Amino acid sequence: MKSVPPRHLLILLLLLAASLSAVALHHRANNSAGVSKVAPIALQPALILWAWERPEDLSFINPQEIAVAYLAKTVFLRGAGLLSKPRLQPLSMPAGTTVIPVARIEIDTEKPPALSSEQAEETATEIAKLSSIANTSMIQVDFDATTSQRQFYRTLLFELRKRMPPTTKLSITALGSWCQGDDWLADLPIDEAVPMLFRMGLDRNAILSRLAGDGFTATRCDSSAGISTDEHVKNLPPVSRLYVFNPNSWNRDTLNKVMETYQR
Amino acid sequence: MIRRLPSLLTIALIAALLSGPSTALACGPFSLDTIFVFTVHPEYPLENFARGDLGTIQPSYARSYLYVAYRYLNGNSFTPDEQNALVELWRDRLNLRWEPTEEQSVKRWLEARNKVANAAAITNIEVYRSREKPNEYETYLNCQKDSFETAVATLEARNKQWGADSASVKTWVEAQDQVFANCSEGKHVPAATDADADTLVRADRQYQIAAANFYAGDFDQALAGFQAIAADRGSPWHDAAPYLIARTFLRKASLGAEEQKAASLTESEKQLDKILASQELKESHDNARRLLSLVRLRLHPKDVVRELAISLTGKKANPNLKQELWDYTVLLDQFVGDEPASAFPPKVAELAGDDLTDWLFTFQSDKSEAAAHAIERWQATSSLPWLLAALAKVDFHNPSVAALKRAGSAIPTNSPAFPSAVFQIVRLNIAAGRFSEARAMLDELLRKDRAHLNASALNSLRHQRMLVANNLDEFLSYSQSAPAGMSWNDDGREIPAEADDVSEGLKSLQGKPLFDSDAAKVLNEKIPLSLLKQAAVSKTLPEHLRRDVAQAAWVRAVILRDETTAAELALTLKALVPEMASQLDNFLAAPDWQAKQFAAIYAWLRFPGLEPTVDTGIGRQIPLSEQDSYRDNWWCSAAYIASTDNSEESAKKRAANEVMAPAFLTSAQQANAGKEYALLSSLGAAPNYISQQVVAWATRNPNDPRVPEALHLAVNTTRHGCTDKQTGKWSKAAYDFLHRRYPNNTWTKQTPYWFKD
Repeated sequence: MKSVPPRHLLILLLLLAASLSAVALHHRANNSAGVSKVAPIALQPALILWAWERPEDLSFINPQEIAVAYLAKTVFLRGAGLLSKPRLQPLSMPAGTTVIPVARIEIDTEKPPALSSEQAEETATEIAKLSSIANTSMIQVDFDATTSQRQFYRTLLFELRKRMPPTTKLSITALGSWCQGDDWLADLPIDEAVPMLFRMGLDRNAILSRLAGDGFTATRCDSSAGISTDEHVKNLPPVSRLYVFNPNSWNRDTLNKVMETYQR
Repeated sequence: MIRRLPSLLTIALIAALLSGPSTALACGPFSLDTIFVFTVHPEYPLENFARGDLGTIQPSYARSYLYVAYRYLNGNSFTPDEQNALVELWRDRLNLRWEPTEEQSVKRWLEARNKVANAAAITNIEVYRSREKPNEYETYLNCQKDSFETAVATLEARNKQWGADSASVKTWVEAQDQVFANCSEGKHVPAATDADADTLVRADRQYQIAAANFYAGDFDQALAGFQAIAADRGSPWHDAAPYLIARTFLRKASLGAEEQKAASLTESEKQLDKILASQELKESHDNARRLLSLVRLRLHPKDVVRELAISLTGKKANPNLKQELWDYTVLLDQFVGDEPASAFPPKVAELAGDDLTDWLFTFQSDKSEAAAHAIERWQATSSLPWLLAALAKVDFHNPSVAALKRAGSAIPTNSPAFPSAVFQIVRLNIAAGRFSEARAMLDELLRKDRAHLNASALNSLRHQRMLVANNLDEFLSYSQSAPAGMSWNDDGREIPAEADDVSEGLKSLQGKPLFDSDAAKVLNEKIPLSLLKQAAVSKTLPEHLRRDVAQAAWVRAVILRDETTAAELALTLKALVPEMASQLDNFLAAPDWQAKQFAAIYAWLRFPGLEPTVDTGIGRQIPLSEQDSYRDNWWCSAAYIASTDNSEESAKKRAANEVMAPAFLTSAQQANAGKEYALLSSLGAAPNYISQQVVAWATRNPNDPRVPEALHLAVNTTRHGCTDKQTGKWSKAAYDFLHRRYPNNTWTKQTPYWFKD
């Protein structure tokens, strides 16, 4: 085999480098987030009903097809400490239903929290207690953290992860805005982020128009989505897991409508 | 220890509080914005509504407010104490802040208990307990504050009796610790004392054993224990035991197997009736009465609804108003679920054995039967509540409309029903096309009785007047409203923002007239450009609204290629937005339409706040020249916003939100407005249109020195404006042109990417 003269080799290498750069540039232009995607979480069932703070009788669901993410506790961050309010509403489900206990975090506006690392640790300890609930292989945290609260939330999630059994997965709900061009979720110790495509406030039009395009590009936002029964999402990306919120109590008809609409 | 009656109605309270609509899934981000007409509850301060200032009563108000309206409409009122109770109820319901009620009692018990010599300190008692399978995902408040208060009182008494350092006190505390260990889990029952133990020690232990079983959920054992104590006249717990038996039956009904619930509730009721019939047990009567209310609430809900409705509509002052109204509305919620409008009929027919309940559901209903029923009730009773309900439910075709309007028109101006009656009569007149009658009625009210109207009522009526305006100026006069409040409203509760939450900039807007959503909708969809042009210079609008109209009309004129109107509006806009002067001068000086169009687009690129629509409420809160970080830049596709959902429900919502074209518009004007809006809606997202136009100009005029910057800014719009499936194509087109044609330009260097989405 004829050897390649060094000059030609150099040209080849330069051409190769240029090609690789062009691909990278095109990729960056196409994907402004510029972060590789994580394999989607593969827990079943893939249709999950949110059971929130109201009496819910879900005895009609098929536990092979439907899981339930229920509000298990609300943690109020107040001053230097926290108050934990457990679920006090009836909730009935068929035996064997996969459950995802959800901890909702609220900020007390009358006594604003310190958001210290100690408070993050205490909150993590409180939420980690949910790991011991039967039929649970995942905990979800629901916190609409503002930009200034993100560092606290990050600390909390890392501390929570330490306190959870290694086999228990960690899911968080996400604002739609976290999933477009705002990739702060990228290195969090979570297994799932669920962009909530309802009650989106200011960002509603921008988020929905992005979905009409090519969906979210931020890490962690492409495997799951959260919708509400009263806000139809026309261009829902083909997510593997769909969470559904109902502002009213669940019944069979509403569930059937959701399954039909979103082909689940 | 269970001695004094905990307020078990607290359980109902807590359960009721927590059974309210979920408000915890507010996603956002949200901004502070305006409310022109409160719909979830009356406007603040709620004291005014409690005092009888009803405004225009909305069927969408929660039932606790409609109850108050019903009372006033019937000619009754509330004492100052009752008004305070009402406001307290509403505050409790609207305030999501949670205050655990047991904390202080637990703390006092632990402080008392930790003083006992040699007792290992305890720092916390968890008062909630999870239910057993298959309800293991539910938690309940097991040990309530009175348990701890009784324990503190008993410990103090035993300290005095036996001595704080005595072995008996220590043993008593150890047993009590076991009782409270059941609050959160397991079954921890103290051992019985020896047969020869001191009488009081033995009696206390028997009581603690029964209590431990109660908290551990072994209700049959608890019953046996309390029954034995009730039979022992020598026990200091003898008088408390009968009440605790009733309470145990109730707890068993709440937490035990489904099939025994009714029987347990019945036993509890029997027990409480016995207590109330016994003078010996009169110390327990108050507690027993309260517990009996709770039991009956569950055992005979329909009867209780009726009884509460009668009590709530009684003429005498009601010291229990808050609790009764709370219980009443919670019961109604339980019967009809979350959607009051769909409750009537048939589910509620059985409940409607009293006028109040009947009226509430009829007034809230959106079913067609509601109108007929309301008319029938009005004809039977001639009452004001039913007149108002009938007026609110009928459509203008109904044969009873004339009679209803006559009766409504006779309502005196000082009646609490007056604003609502006028609103409904005007609504019917507008629907029937009787615009001059509507105008006359509104003008008289707004002239003579404006002072009696709260902001929401005023805005409702001004909105109606806007629709029947005689001409553009009249329309503009009524299109602007001062908001009734400002709210984040991230959870739909319409809670007005605290003063501290409102920035100085927004505070300056308070009291200033703005466009509400209907006014903006009319301006954006129903008013043709030829009239928008006039609106932009009309002194009927204050400057800040004129500015919004002018910028919308100018952008619109450019898009619609109306050169003459665009030129006129450019001059108007120059005066209203001086910072745009040089851009507008360039537009005016451009030699032909294509050049003008590019000059306009170039201006839009530098002023991302420009759009062909007016804003609702506060609108965009940053200068037109600044880019908004939430992508409120240029415009989104109007067609996109309008039709994200083709479901039947959404179609109904859209139909309900449709606003009529104002009466003064001619058919030609309406048709032109329709055509203009259709064309605007077909454009797609602004970045597509803008980029396309920039590329077209650049192709024809590559040597225009503005082009590189314009191409750079066009790519920027695709990053910071609304996007759709086509945006990537135009982003790339602008990017490619810039890089291909101007490779060494400084704007090219600042444009390393194009954006697909």
